[in-house]
Parts: sequence; C-alpha cells; structure tokens
Amino acid sequence: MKTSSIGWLLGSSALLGVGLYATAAGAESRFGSREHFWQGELGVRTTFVTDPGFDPFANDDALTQLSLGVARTVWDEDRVSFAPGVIWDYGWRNSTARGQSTSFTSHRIALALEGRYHLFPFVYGLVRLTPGAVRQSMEVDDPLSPAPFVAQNWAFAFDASAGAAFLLGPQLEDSVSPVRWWLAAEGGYSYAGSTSLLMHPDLADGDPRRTGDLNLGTLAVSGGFLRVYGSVTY
Amino acid sequence: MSMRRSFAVALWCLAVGCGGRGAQWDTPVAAPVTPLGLRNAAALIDTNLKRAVVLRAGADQGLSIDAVPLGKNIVSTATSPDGSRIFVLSQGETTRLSAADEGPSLTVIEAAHPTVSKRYDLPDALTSLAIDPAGRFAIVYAGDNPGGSFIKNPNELIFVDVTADPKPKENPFLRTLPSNVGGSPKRLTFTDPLHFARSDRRLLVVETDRDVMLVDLDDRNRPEISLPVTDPRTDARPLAPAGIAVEAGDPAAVMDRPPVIAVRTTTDDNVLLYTLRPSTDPASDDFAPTPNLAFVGGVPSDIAFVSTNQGGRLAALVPSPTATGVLVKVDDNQTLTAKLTVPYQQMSLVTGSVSGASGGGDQVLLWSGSGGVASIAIWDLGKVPDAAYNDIDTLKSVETLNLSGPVESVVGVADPTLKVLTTSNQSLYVLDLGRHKASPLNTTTDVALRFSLAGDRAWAFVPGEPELAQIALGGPDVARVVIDRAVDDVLEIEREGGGKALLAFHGLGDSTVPISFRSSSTGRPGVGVTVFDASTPDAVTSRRYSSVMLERLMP
Repeated sequence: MKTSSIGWLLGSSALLGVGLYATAAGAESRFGSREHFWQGELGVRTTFVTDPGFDPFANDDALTQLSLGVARTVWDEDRVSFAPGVIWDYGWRNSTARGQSTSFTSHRIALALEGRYHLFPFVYGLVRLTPGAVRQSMEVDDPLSPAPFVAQNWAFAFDASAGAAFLLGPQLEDSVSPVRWWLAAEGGYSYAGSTSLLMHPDLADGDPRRTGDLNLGTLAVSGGFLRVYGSVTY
Repeated sequence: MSMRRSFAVALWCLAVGCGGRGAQWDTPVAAPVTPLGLRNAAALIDTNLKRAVVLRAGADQGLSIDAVPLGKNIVSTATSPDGSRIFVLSQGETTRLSAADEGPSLTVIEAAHPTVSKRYDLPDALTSLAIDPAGRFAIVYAGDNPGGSFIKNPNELIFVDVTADPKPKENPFLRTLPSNVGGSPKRLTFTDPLHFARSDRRLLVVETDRDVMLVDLDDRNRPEISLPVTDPRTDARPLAPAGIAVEAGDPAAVMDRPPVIAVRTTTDDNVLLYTLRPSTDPASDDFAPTPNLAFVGGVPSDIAFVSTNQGGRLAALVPSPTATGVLVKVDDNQTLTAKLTVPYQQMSLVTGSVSGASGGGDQVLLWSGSGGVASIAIWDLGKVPDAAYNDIDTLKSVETLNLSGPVESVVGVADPTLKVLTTSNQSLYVLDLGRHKASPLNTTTDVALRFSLAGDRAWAFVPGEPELAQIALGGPDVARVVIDRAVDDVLEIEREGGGKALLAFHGLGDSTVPISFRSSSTGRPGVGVTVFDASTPDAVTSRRYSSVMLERLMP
C-alpha cells in the first residue's frame, strides 16, 4: 500500500471514529457544552526545522503552515475530556540556493488525540499526541537543466504538544447561541522521518533526454513547533 | 535574563524561525569556474567555498560527485602534464590575527585518490606555481604578482615534494636564492636527469631578469650556481635571459660530452653556452660551468638542442636581419646556416626516432606566432652537410607548407609526429610529420581545442555555443557531436571500469549561457555537465547533469 493511501486512511478513520463515539459521550461533563462539543480549528503553525536539509529551501528555520482541524469530544468526566480529531497543515517556503530558485511545499495530515483538563468553564489545558504523515515536495530550478529538479515523498510524522484554550465567548452555559469561539495555543515537538533529497529533472513522459540526478542529502522536518489557532465549537 | 523573558524570546524565535541557514547556500558560485583534469576525474574549483567538486565518470555515462577541501583565497591552479595531479595554491587569510586563521597552502589532489586532498602548509603567501614534469616537485614562487603584499622577496622558492607527506620545516622547505646581480626569478625549468661523472642529477634552471641560476633538485644542501649572461666589467648592456635549452650530456661519455645549458637573451646576437664540466676530483659529482659564446648572426627567437646526421647541435632560429636557421656545434663553435624564406620565430621539435627524417636526424617544425607568416616549414636535420660546407641547402632539407592564414598556435600532442595548428583565419591543420601531410579543417568561427591524454583525438568546441566536434587526429576525421547546451569547456577522462568519457561543461562563466538556451525559469543558471562516451559520442546515450555546484554542501 502506498504511503499516500495510509495518510488518507488515517484521516478517514479518525473522522469515522469521532462520528461513532460522539453520540455516546458527554453525560458526565462538569461544564456542559463548554466541555463537550464539536470543534473546528483554523490557525497557523510554525515548526522550527533545524535539519540542514531544510537550508536550501529557506533562509531561516521556520516552516509556517496554515492549520485546519476538526475534533469532537468523545469522552468526558468531571474536568477531564478526550477529543480526537484530524489536523491538516499546509505550508511552503521559497528561497535560493547559490542563486538558484528553490521551493518547498509540505502537507501534514494527522490524527489528533487530545486530552483536556478544564480548569474553568472558559479555559482548558490540553495535551495532544498526533501521529500522521507528511508529504513534502521540493524543487530546485536551474535554467541550464532540461527541467526543474523535483523530489516528492511521504514520511511518518508524530507530534507531542501541550497548550491551553480560552473561551472568547459566549461565556454563559445557557447562551442563546450554541456556537462558541475559542482562542488556543500549543507548543511541542514534531518528529518527521528522514527523506531523501535525491532530485530528478521533471521531464515530460517520453522525453528522450537522459539526465542525472541532483543529490542534496536528506531532510527531516522535525523540530519544536508552535501552533496558534482559533476554533469554533458547537 | 529572567525566566519569563527567556521564555518570551524562545517563543519569538520559534515564531519567526531563529537560526539562519548554512552560509554555503548564500554563497554564489564564483565565475568563471575552472575545470581541471586528472586522468580519471575532473575537478571544478569552487573558489568561494574553498573546495573542489570532483567528478568521476562511470558506466552508462553516470557521474559520481564528491568534494574535497581547498585553502582560502585561491590564486593559482595547475595540472601535471600526465594528469596525475592537480595543484591549487591558496594564500589563506589576508590578515592573520590569530593562530586559528588559515595560512597559505598548496593543496594536491591525486588521480590515485581523487576524493582525498593533501594539504601542504606554506611558510609564505606566494602567487606562482612551477610544476615538475617528472611529478616530484611543485615550486611556489613570487613571480610577477606581489599577491597583495606591499613588499616581497622575489627570490624565495618554496619546494614541495608532492610525492612525500607534509613534514614541518622539511616538506615544504623554503630556499632563498642569493641574488648576485639583483635579479628575480621569471621562469623555472626542470631538467631531465643530466649525466654527470658519478650519477645523474636533475637541476632547476631559474631564469631571472638578469642571470640564470642552477639549483640541485636532489640535494638541497648543494649551493646554487649563478650563470651570468653578461660580463659586467666589459659589457654594460642590460641583458636578460629570454629562453634556455638543455642538453643532458652523453651517459656513455660523461667526461667528453658533459651537459650543456644554452641561454639566449633579449638583445644579444650570441647564444651563451655553459658546459657543465665535471670536477677534476673523481670522487666529486660537482661540476664547473664553462661559458662560451656562439655567434648566430642576429638575436635568436628560439633555441633547441637537436640531433642531426652529423651529431648533436644547437639550433637557433634568427628572424632578422636575415631569416636563418643556425646549427652550432658546441664543441668547436662551428656553425652552419640555413637561409629561410620567411622569418619564422619558433621551433617545435620532433625527435628522430619518430619523425621520419632522413639520416637519423630530428625534424624541426618552424612557425611564427606573430608577424603574419602564413606558412610553416619542416626542417629535415637528417640532411645536414659536414663542416666543409658553409651553408645548408635549404632546397633539400627545408620543406615549406603554405597555409590559408598566419599560424596562431602549434600544439603538440602525446603522439610526437602530430601537431595541431590553428590559424588566424579560422582554419585548423593536423600536421603529420611522419607522413609529411598537413590536413586542413575549416571552421566557421574561432574554436577552442582540447586534447585527450593519449593524444589520439582532439575535441573542438565554440565557447558559449552548442557546437562540439570530435577530431580523430590519425585521419584526421571530424565527427560533429550533437549537444543541446552551450559548451564552455570539455575534458576527456578515464571512466571507472574502463573506457573514456567526455565531460562537456556548461555555465562555467557569468554570462556564458545565452538566453536562447535557458529554460523559462529565473535565477542564476547552475553549472552543468553533459557526459558522453568519448569513443562514440552520441547525444542519445549522453547524460545531462545540472546544478553540480549544489552537490555535497550538506555538513
């Protein structure tokens, strides 16, 4: 089975699991709909990639990504709850390597296993384990080359993080609107498997020209990360 | 810093991506990139990153790419004639403020281990290199370039025995020539073994701007010997050596036929002959240089020791006042003159064993690199009359070949019977002296030539254009090679596993990639290599490599 299939299977399974458990959960929560909810997330994630393999594609170590997620509280008891979900992160960098244009694109799809501790109705702390897969595409441009050098690959990824979420409003349990707005931040460490930067000219099928590869080593987009996101719960 | 503040800084760093990347990725490729050829690898000098990118060809036009470190501030590079070594001279830090700052060095890359470099730290930052054709020494000297220093001793020679490992104070070692008449070295010549009474010795002949000095290459304790080119008591002319020729002597008669060094000067119509007569002490291997002057009727433009059917002679080419070739018998200064029709200025020697000359003598190719002489002459030294004659019959011994334009260069290849001539009107000639044949090859523009180490073929290309051709020198047969990228240089190297590969380089200079050959992408072009099978260069089986200067940059 291809690695790409594994990624989508992971995401689909997570969504299915969230759906199945959702109906049975939430009976014992202390803070009601402020603890037990569907959640949609939109934010920004920055990973501090220290691997030298990232250097040809970025002037610094930051890989900033758009982050989208959905989660559902499937179990809660008193102040503690568990909310699995799915997160998709997407980002890119452009740079030059010795004057040659380069680019890097990353998609990360992951199953988020999030445990929460609700300190108050309007704030909870969270810890999150996020196994997933990252797909990255790299390109090095060379006007002399028959075609740009490209490399695309998948890697296993795993995040461990902790953070907190604050309820922006409405604060009251018996609010007229069932929709609430939260602001959250988390930080942690992101591991990603090492992948090859053996790049091939992206020639069209049937192009008769024989080419050699460009070997830039390996890359693992691992590092500390920070994620800030707003979420809407229902 | 408080914990809260540290945390804030850490968070900020995380957000903005503190931590720059390796400086190598922001370091441009210094143009032009110099390709140097080992017999089995090519090295691209990456000056800005202090490294050589080493390319080795494999099966199916594959290329393996490695990098070896070099010194900082590269000022000179050289390749040994047999392709066994590459030499890279570096000056190090311009201003050394700490012991950790890099000093001057000579880096040697050997064909036997092309992915490993050998570094020799030098006692002084000099700028010129002289390479021993025998492969033992490299000599670093000041030459005409002060190398950024406001004061230099031009008589410093740094000897590097490249067959031995570096050893402090011993290899390399510094030798300062005593300058009796205030001269400074201009040209260095390594002799073949000269035959002396007890053993053969190799000498370094140093031409300064005022005299000639002999330095023993095998024994560093022997003192230098100065050979003046004028007698300051009787001759006030500021003569300077303009060229030398060395006769190794007769190993079967070391006392009767000792080595001779001939010196021509810039303005004198004599050739100065120094016979290195053996010491009268049979236990000594020393010699005493004995001077003699041979009048040649004008200022010679070239000299060489040659073999004729009458024995060994010194040949001198005199363009004016009368264009002549002069043969001097060293023993008694007897001269024979050949009157030439045009003022040739240079000689290229073809030894008798391969030249096809009659009577066992050498053949000499006469040509002129300047003066608009649109012909060459082949002087057969197997037809030299004995001393009873005053002149050489040029009708019998000199054969003139008229060319379509003035000769610009004559290149010798490994096959000594073949010479390749370029003319100023875009014609090439492959001259087969064995068969007395000059085969013209016409070109539509100025071409550059590179030769295989085996000397059996040449590669012609138009710099900056996608034009490449193989010339089999034996025919000569020309085969155009289809290539889709502009060629800046080519090198033929041995392939791992047997066979030969041709490496065609692209993008070595700043502006050598015409817009029409670039793809639509932006940014600086990288350096590319197209690998051919040198025996059957075919675009179908060639392989194109690009961006090779980005390889091996990961720490």
